[in-house]
Amino acid sequence: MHHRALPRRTVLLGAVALAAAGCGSTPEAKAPPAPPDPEVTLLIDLVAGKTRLLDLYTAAQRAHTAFAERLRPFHARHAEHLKALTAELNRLAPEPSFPTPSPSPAVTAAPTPPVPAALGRALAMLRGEERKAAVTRLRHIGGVSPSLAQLLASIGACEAAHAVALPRSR
Amino acid sequence: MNVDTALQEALAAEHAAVYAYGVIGAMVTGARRETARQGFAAHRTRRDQIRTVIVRRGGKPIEADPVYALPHPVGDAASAIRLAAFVEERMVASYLELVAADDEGVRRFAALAMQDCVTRGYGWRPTVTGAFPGMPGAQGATSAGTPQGTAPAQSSSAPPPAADPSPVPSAAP
Repeated sequence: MHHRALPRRTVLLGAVALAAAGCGSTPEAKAPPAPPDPEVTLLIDLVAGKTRLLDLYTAAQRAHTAFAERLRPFHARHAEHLKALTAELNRLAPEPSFPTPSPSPAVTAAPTPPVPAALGRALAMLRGEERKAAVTRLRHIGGVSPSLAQLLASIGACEAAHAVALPRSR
Repeated sequence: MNVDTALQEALAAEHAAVYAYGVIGAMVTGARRETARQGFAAHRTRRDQIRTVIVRRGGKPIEADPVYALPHPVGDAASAIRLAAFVEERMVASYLELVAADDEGVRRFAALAMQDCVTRGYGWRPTVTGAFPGMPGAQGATSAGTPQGTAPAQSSSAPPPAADPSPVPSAAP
């Protein structure tokens, strides 16, 4: 799966180069661009979802400053996940711009919910988000490379641990 | 790794886990005993599921060894709890291998098992060990999920055996 990504992008870039050189009238150049690599599309989604989860923790830490320190290690582990997912995305698709939004946004679509003012409810919300994220990983590991499957499974296990490790209250 | 080989290795690990939980259950009391009973049942179920998958794929499931060497002496509740946390950690790593298998169903099974083991392990030792459970060398990167000192740290517990840290089949017949 990994080796397919690059040649396909090369074809796409080739088409762009042709168009730039004024050869855009050839039928080949007008052909629709190759579909995005599904693994790249998935990773874009996963990076967005992880970013959202990090934002949620940041918002919870701001809303509950007395508790912020307790949430810091959870935030840090999510930041590590984001780093790993981003590295994987950059490896598969080195260009900075992806004009291809996912046809079926998995985690991306959900807007960041407001953090409840009550600490117990804020923690319950985080627990729910962790559980949801962990379950979602199971859906994504099927059609990807073995190494990405392992990364996602490990991240899911961490999220499952978070769901039980998040304190219930002060 | 080949799916069938990975399944056999996971089965071997579950055989060892079931054995270890038998030891653990005998050493703890009260609520811990119930937790151990649930852990025993969970690993036995997974063991049977893997066995079934292997048979359905036309393979011959490996048998359990009569005795397994434990990573450290287990003679009281504290050492039994340490063993339980250790077993779950090993199972997470073992299932991570299975996640690389080229079979969608096997992958899901293994990834779900990882989540179960990590959760159960937290029940024994309430520490989140790193951001990437099961990954080699990833442990303890950010392990401050709980207040310090609630659980025995890995380094302060019994030193792992030099050769193989998993409960391995003993050489005894």
